[in-house]
Amino acid sequence: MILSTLENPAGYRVVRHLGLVQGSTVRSKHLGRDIMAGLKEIVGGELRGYTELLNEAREEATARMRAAAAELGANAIISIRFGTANIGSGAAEVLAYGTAVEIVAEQAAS
Amino acid sequence: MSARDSELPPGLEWLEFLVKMGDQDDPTGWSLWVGGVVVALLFNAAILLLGAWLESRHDRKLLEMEAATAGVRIFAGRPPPDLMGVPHLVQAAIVMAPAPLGRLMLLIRRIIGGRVVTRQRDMQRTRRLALLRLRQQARGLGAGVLAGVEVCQIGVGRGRFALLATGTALIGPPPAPAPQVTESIGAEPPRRRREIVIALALLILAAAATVEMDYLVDTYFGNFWKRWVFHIKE
Repeated sequence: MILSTLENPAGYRVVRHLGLVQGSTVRSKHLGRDIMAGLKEIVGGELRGYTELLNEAREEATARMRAAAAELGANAIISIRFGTANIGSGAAEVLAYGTAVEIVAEQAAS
Repeated sequence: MSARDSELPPGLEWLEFLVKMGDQDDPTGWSLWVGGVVVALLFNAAILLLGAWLESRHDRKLLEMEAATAGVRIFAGRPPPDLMGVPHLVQAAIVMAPAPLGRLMLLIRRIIGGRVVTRQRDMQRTRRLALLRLRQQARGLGAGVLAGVEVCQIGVGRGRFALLATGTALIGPPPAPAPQVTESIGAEPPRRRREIVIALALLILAAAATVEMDYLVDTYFGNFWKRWVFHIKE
């Protein structure tokens, strides 16, 4: 499945619009990671545990969106956007949404 | 009457050193107190310097990594029509904690107002890292173009900088040579040494004020809190 943040990827033509699909998730890390992040915060720098948390959260949200699009019979999702919300200090909510479409490569169509 | 003659409740005699601590009539007690303040000062100064060193090391590493991915062209919206390829979603996340120097400078700025340069620097660094990771992924996929890039800010705890960056890598034939642009463009050169000097001076001032304040309070009011805590009769 082709995923794109662009409205209209060059070289492709949208054949059918199937509507908005979305996926969301709320995740958090275990207490140990929170404590380690708290210690790292003293000297500053990247908090790898939380970066991992965000990566996991958006991967899960993307996978759910992809599953929704597959259910509609789409072969691509375009105009993908991500929204997030802050839930306390150790949890992340990620929402992914986009338009499920059926596209064909321009060369094949013509 | 000195604190040494205090009557601690039975079973709590071992707390005697707490009563003595900060007592200017007692040399051991006084030096214990001043020593404690000095240790706190050294600890904070060490964390400050360590944080600043990590920050500057990270800056250097960032420049190197950016130079390595400078060939990937990056666009916020739709790319020029001649750049085509198979689109592939790329995403990157980053959560950063500000360096201790930045936290201290923020405190000062909240008192005197103005532009919080260290804070700005931390934000810039987070953005640079997020975009750099996008570029690295695009490069890993063999794409020379990254289009439709969006960066969104997330709140993860107080004072932290968190970004989620997304874009579409266009995997296709390599684009024509273009100017090598990295995220470091527009970044202000840090004046870290000056900030460290200000921060250390402030720390020393704070430690001196703590000791001096305690001395003055002891002189003019006596150990009122100790009298209250330990029920010392005078």
